[in-house]
Amino acid sequence: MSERAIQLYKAIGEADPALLEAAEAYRPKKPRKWMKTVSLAASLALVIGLGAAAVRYARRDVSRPADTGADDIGAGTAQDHLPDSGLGAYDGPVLPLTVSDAANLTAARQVTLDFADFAADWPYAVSVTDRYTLTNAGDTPVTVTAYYPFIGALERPGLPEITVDGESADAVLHTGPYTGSFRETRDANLLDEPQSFAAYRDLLSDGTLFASALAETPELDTPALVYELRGVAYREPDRYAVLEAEFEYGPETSVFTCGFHGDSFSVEENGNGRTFGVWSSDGHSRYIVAVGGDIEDLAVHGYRDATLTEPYGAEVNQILRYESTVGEFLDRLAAEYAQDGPDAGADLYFGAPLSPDLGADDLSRELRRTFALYSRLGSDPSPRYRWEQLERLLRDTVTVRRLMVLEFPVTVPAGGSVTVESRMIKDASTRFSQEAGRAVSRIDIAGALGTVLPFTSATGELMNTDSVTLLDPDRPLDVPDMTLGPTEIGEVFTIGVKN
Amino acid sequence: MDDAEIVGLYWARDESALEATRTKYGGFARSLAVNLLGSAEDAEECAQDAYLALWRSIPPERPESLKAYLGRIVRNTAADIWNRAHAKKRDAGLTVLLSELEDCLPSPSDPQAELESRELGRAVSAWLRTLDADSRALFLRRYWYGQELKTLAREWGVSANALAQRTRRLRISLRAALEKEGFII
Repeated sequence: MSERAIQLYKAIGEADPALLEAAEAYRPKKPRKWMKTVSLAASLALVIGLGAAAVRYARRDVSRPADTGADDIGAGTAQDHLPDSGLGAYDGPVLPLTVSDAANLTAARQVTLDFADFAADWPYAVSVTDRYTLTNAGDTPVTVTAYYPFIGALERPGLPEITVDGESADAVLHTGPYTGSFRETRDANLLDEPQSFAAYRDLLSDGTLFASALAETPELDTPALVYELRGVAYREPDRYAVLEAEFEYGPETSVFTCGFHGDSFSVEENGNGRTFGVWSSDGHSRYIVAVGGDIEDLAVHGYRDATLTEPYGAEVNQILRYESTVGEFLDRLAAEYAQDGPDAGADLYFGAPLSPDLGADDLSRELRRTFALYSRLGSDPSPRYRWEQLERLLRDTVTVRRLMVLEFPVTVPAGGSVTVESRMIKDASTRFSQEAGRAVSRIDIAGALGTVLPFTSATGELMNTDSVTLLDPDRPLDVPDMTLGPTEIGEVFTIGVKN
Repeated sequence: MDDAEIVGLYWARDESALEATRTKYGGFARSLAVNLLGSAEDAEECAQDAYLALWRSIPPERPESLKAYLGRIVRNTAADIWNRAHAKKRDAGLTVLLSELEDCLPSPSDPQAELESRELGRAVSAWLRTLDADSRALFLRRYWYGQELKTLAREWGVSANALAQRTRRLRISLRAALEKEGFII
């Protein structure tokens, strides 16, 4: 185990004694089975754990025709009731349905936010039903490809459930690209995810990101030489060792690794060492991948610990060398991760398991895309991956928020209508407000952002709000018939919850 | 005897301070050590080392909460014992707990990114205060007290898998909070 885990363990040990006392005295309220099946009645149970809570309704002063583009949504008028503490993460807005061609079609939208299970788990989450009545004013049937975009992550279970006139749609998932960028600090290069509705508006308004989500998987057929280090044999009784793989390579060669510990990773520029610590034998292979050339003089030595000072009787059982391509190797990593997940290789992967709704192909597609963009050999290399540890690329691929799209066909009869509905659980974006002394959450709903559908109306409804108090500093909020209106479809709902 | 009196005995170098500590917090220290080390023998060694460390550190320390202070010493002592033994038993409590925490602090390849425990501790506490009481209690019971998931699952009335998923989300949140604070690369 690395020093950093122990460091965090000790930091947690510094927790305020008052918090410890409260934690020790705390008696959780056990869930009642009926909460899961009776959604309306469940709102009564929401009082538990919420205490005094508040929902603020924040109105954007947006006036524009219903069928114009998305650029006007909230532009320049974004209010922000939420003090930015630097803690928490923005989970992105609920995005609207769009179609391949809106000819002759209009849409009436109704969004329902159900707070029944808002506080049942953490982070707080709202059940969102996003319903569209598509009407065909023409005299011939219209068949279009519909796209329902949402902000998700490969680790996150539960895809939106799409129905067309009540029938489950046969939807194809496009996992789409990372929605953020990277931020360099003195010591680190951080993921820099969009932290506001405005940031998502900027990202999505020109359609580029959306098009990327539907793009083909990068081929990545560059030849690669793979060295697979299999198993560990001990000649001494204490079955723990740090193994160092030493090798040489020239400047024409790029070397990537997987399974070598970050904290003992000590390679210098064009250096020649990679190390990993191993308990007993964890059964996982370690990989060294050479691209553009080969490595030479590979040798593996055992040491007692990461200082690499005291030799120890441990060695790798078997080293295989085979020819592959970068893409094929990433497929292999994705397949291993999809099968074993990070739990099977806690010493290898520090990420989250792949969502049960996704498979190795989904992971592989995005791993290839991430590599093609951000690796040392990518089109836009990021310093975050400068150490060429593929598990970091893999972990980020699984955990970062990305634009995902469900694609399905819809036929609207001449002079008729169909109803398209998406149901999903949406995490609230939660920040800690120093000013308010409490955690404040928000759910944002984007109006026409990125859609070509002309809306004739857009209404909103809140359900099971018994446990939250609705506040509106500017005007009364008429619940449940809260009308967003066709000229206000860029509204943002801000939900404040006292911690 | 309240904590201030017991601490007073330590300051007076009165060995009855140890007896008073054992009487009042012995069960707590032992169960905490068992949670973390998963072995009664190791836990006993841990508790004894912790009492010795307590004797040596008070004075100059004068903790307001003797229980929290003793608990911190037990946790640090358990980490030392675990380090020494390399946790030969892979499923020992602290081994699993640390492997769960590993994903909260991706390693700095750059040695300059060495973090100070106090600073990190403050960030962790700030994050803890953003949680609701239920989540905060769950996190601390798991990662401060070292209670096993299956034990917590019984108390919370949910399956261990469901609780594992929940603690995972908490770790992801902690990771995001620490990353925001610049602790992550």
